[in-house]
Amino acid sequence: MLQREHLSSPYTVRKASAYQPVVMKASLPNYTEQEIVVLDLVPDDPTPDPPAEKLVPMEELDWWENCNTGVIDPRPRAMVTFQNEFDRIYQNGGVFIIFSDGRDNQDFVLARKSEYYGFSIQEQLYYDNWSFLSTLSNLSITRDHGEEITAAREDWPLIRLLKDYLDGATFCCTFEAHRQIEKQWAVLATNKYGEAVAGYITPPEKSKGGWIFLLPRIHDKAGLLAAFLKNILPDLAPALFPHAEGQRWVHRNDYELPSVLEKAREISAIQDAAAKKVTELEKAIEAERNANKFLYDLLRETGANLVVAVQKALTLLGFTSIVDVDAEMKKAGKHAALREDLRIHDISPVLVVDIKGVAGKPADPEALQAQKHAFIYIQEQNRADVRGLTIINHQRLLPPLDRDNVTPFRKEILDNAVQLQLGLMTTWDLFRLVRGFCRHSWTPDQVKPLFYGAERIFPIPRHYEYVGIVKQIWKEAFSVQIKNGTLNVGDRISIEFPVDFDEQPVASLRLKDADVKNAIVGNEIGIFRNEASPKVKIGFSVYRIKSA
Amino acid sequence: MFKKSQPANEQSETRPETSAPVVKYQRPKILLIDLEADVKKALEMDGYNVAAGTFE
Repeated sequence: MLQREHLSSPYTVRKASAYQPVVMKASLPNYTEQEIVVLDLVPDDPTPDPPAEKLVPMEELDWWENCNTGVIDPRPRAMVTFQNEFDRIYQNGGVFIIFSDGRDNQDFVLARKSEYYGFSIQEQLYYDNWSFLSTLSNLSITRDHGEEITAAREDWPLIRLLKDYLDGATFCCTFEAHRQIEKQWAVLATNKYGEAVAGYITPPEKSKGGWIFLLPRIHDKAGLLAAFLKNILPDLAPALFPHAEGQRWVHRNDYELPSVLEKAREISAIQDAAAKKVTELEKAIEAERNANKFLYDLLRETGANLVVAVQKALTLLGFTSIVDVDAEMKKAGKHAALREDLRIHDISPVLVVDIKGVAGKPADPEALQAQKHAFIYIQEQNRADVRGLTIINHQRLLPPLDRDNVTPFRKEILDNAVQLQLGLMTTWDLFRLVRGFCRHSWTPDQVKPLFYGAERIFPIPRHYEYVGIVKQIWKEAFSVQIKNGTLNVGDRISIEFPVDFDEQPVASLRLKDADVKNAIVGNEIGIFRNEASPKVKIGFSVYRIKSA
Repeated sequence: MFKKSQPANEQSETRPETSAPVVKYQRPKILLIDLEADVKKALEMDGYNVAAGTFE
């Protein structure tokens, strides 16, 4: 269990715009000869009373602090007391490991209080909770809070160690090095805005100075420090670890076994090759994402970006004659705001397409506007073979599986769409259709006719025939309640998952513990399924794949 | 920002004191300031020469 050996507690005072004495009781055993100093700068909860009596009488000069926060933190006074000795430790190769907190702007003064003169301030004291080492005045330390911490990308043992202990870590401040220590400063980890939340200061050049490590709030400090002292620090500050060096020199390259060196080289080569491969894959992922950005845009965008994404999706599905109405109107010098977004002229009828991204579900005018634009086009072109199609990115701020994909359109809108011969589609369904098209090599003839339908358009290709739903599941099989058509051994079926379709052959059919050649409406038929395939769930829809 | 105080009932779960850990490595001399007691115990178990103190 955690139990604090020594508590460093600020103490509460009555909140007022007045000064109170700063009372401290520091205890640092044999501090002048220490070599590694580890500090936790986040104070404990304030105690109700000062830790000791005031050090000198009221009439003598002493530290006082403004009580405007209701808390007096005596630690800066103690830190200043030890600063010279800590500077000496640092300048002679000592190591400081600091679990950080933000820099406090406390109002300290050197003052006295007497009956005759009252309270008189002699000077302002510019010290704070980072005043234990003078070199730390070269760091900007800004109070900040968060738990998103990203280790630096460099493959360095300390960074690898820090990564292992970042689970549950938080930070209280960010760091920026001033010019004086810029060359010595390196970042170990950043917050989500790229600001340093952990870092280290290397020894000054041509000096025998030490190291300073600034760390965030690590949950397992004991584990981190033990690993740090065992695996990291002996290499950085070998003079502090005579026992480690005493055992380690035999492993220097000069004395090491050739076979060990060979293996070490192999490790290094594997690490280099893996790092190179990871970089290549990261670049490939980036390129892949950029090339298929329109698929992401179908799910998140609105306005012109969504129109571009839908146009790319339709082109991929095989439409060849798509008119960008906005561009067409601009070219003709007309106002495009009151017209449809796209027109598709591949076949008769012409499709007039309106595309919208909305935070909620589409209102009636948004869902039915395509039909209004279709009427305008009918009037303009004096032709009757024109249909409207609305494509909506509904609840676009939600991940698609969290959206209402069952009733994205109100029943009244769907009823109107039937009467008006208007197609209604969500971009989520368009996304799923594009995925299925690419994954299963569907042909344009199998998907393009869908867009000419009325009412809600689902992403089910024309060569899929609904059979029924999954009724039961076993380890290597599932049953389907046949509701439509027939199913035969040798057919191929497709199972509709929440995102994708999964196609498989029907190798055998089992009905009431007997092999059969076909199944008809009303049968609950068992179908073998490879255990390694994605797991089906009860209620999934099953389709028979009609042959070409 | 302040650390959370330890709940009182956790204090009673302290294990009985065992024999003092043996310092295996006299150097480096390590000073822990205002760290939890478990940190000192963990480093002492590893044989380090650890002292604990406070800026209070």
